[in-house]
Amino acid sequence: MQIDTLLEEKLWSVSSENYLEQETCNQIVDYLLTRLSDYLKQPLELIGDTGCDEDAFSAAFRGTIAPNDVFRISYAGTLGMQVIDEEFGPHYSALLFLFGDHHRLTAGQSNRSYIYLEYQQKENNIGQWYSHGWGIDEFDEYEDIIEVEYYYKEETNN
Amino acid sequence: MGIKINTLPNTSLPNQSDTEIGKKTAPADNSIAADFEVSSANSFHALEGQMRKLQLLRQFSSVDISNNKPIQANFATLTRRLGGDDDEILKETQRLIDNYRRQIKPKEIKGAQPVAPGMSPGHAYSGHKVQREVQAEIMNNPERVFSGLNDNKRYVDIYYKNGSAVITVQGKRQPRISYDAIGSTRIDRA
Repeated sequence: MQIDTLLEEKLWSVSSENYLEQETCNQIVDYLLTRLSDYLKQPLELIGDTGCDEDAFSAAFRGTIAPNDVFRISYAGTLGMQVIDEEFGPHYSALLFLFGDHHRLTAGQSNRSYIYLEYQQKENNIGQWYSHGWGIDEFDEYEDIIEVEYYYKEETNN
Repeated sequence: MGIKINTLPNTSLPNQSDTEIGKKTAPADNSIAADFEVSSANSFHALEGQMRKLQLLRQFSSVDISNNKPIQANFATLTRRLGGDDDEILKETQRLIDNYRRQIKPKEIKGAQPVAPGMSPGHAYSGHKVQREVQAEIMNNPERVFSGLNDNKRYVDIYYKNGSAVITVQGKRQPRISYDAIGSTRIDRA
């Protein structure tokens, strides 16, 4: 996809004093999800409404099972931004939860885990997605992400 | 100073009240519940299991911050952090107690910086759609408070209410908040 330099400029300038307008918020979410889809080389789509709260946003998304994939690998995730403070600035991230044949997949010995991705600011204020790999859901913060998977299953059955 | 410090060993078992965390001891606040349903559909399930797990792992201790009572806590983790200096422990304990009892305003809440590059910073809204107003409500009127060391080797406080929790850097609910929590989720990670 084309890099949107104007939107990139806007998304890196968000601060506690420079709030996001709803329309800009939705544009940034769509843009970042498309860029994430390119990075992962997987089709992704938003689920439900995007929450925009002044200096933060949060959106849920899912991937689709590729045709003829015998393992039926699918994705669910959250895409979000939060201004941490003046020093740290806005932080853009995504958490990716993997499912195989509608079962949530985890890494190693952990009961729950996810893949943590960051949209990092590079030269010329253009961002780039970067995967930090698997993280452990220590407090089961995302245990109910499985509900997204149930929703997915129902829809694919229809 | 009205402070009671239980110098229990870190390996102490949960007390009776710890095992009854599933009981809702605070009256339901419909306005807050509604906020959760609207803003955080995937973050309104009980954390009882997680809290029990934390206690079984013996990394966290329960802090009783009920009104009109001296604050009681297992400050073993604090003792460990400060290296056993009694004056320092007493001073830090008072600071923590003042922090637990202080009422915070939503605007004071900020996200916690990550422990290290590549680790997740505060994500109460970006990860869980939990608004500052809801975070403040949980921290100002918690049913339970836990304090201890998380997997990232960061000392954190966990404020729990009605199946949701907010995790903060220990003693720093103002100005920095992370969690997930708690997020929560109800839980927001520090």
